[in-house]
Amino acid sequence: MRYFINKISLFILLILLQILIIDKVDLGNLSSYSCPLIYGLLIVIINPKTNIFLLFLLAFATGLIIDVFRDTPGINASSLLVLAFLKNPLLDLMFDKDDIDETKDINIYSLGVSKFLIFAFILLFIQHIWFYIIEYSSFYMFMNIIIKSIINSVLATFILLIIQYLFVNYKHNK
Amino acid sequence: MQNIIRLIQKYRYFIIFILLQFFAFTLIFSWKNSFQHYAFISSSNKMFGIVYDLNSSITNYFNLSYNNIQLQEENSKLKIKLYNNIKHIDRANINTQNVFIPVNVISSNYKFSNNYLSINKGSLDGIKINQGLIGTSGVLGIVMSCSDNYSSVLPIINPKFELPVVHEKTGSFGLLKWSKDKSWLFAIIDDIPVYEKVQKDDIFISSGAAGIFPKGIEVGKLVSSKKIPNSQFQEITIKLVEDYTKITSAYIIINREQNEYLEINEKR
Repeated sequence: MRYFINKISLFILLILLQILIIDKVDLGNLSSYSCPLIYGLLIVIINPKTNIFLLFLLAFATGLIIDVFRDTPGINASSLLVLAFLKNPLLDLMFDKDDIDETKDINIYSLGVSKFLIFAFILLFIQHIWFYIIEYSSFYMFMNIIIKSIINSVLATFILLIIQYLFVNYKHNK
Repeated sequence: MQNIIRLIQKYRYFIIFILLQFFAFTLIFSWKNSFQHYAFISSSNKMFGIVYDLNSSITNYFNLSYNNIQLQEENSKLKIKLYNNIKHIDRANINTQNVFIPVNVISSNYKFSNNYLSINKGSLDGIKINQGLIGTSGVLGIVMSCSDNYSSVLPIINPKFELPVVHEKTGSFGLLKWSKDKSWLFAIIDDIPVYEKVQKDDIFISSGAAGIFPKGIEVGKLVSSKKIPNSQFQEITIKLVEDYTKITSAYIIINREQNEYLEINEKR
């Protein structure tokens, strides 16, 4: 029960953080380089044993809620769905079965900081590049798309790291 | 038959993934190809409008001093007009073709390549699709969808936006557009002929065509112009008068003669 309350509060927190704070950060001409997509972080760290069907629905619903707020139907839903689809295959590819404690969420203490960061960065980078390609709907400014997705996915990974250090209990997960 | 079922079972997650992606892309394409998209997937939806409304009721306080200055400036301009042109206000003779409804802009996107605004009034206040929105100094956008209490607006800084404009000095017509590689401060004007002499800081105003905005509302000031090769037109870059990063108070224009204009256009 506590697990679900935790997840639901993180879900709402991430959406509000994305909509009300990250989307409004104003850095002048650099503003479009400073809007990381962080609403998908819950999907990145959620327990790998979660029913895949539920995972897909959760990803799709989260994306659609962000779409409603940003008036861009389908883009965020589609990009987050790609992240959810690639998460478990990537986990199997990067780690042995023994490394992962499947009863708990993915966190920095069980995977190790560097491996965790690489894992999160690859997932988030794929999500960002999918998002920007659909948003621009062309390969015309491809360098621009690549630079934007690299900067924004690094920012998103950094925010994930902060969330991990703030909310994950060290002793509990050692 | 059994083989098919086994096949579906083996790839069930992939099939679900493809189905959901298909649904997402249906939404994307129906939105990219039409001016008005689904009313329930937009921030004019009541449930989601409330979140923006609450947020703006808090963040508005941070901009109060800036807004006060803006409103004062606007008031002073109106007073100059009032005392210079109209000596005696006769209620019956005031031209009431355009009615202005004050609204608040509760959310403004400007960093994406498809940007939208949300305002805090909807069809209950008499707002309909295709009405114009102006800020304290110039044109902001056109209403795109509305619910009972909220509406979303297509601003100039969206690639779908188009508006006929006029060069104030020479009176020649052009078409205002925006492209994805511009920032939210600038826009482009096409269709101004090469022989019209344009200079820096020339003002462009709305033309009054399309029946959305009355003639004479400011759009922006010229920054640079260049000739398009192999044609008799020049491409003009203007700086917009409205700053999309800090707009709160705005007015919806209800043009009572819009229907007349549309009727005439259909007869062509």
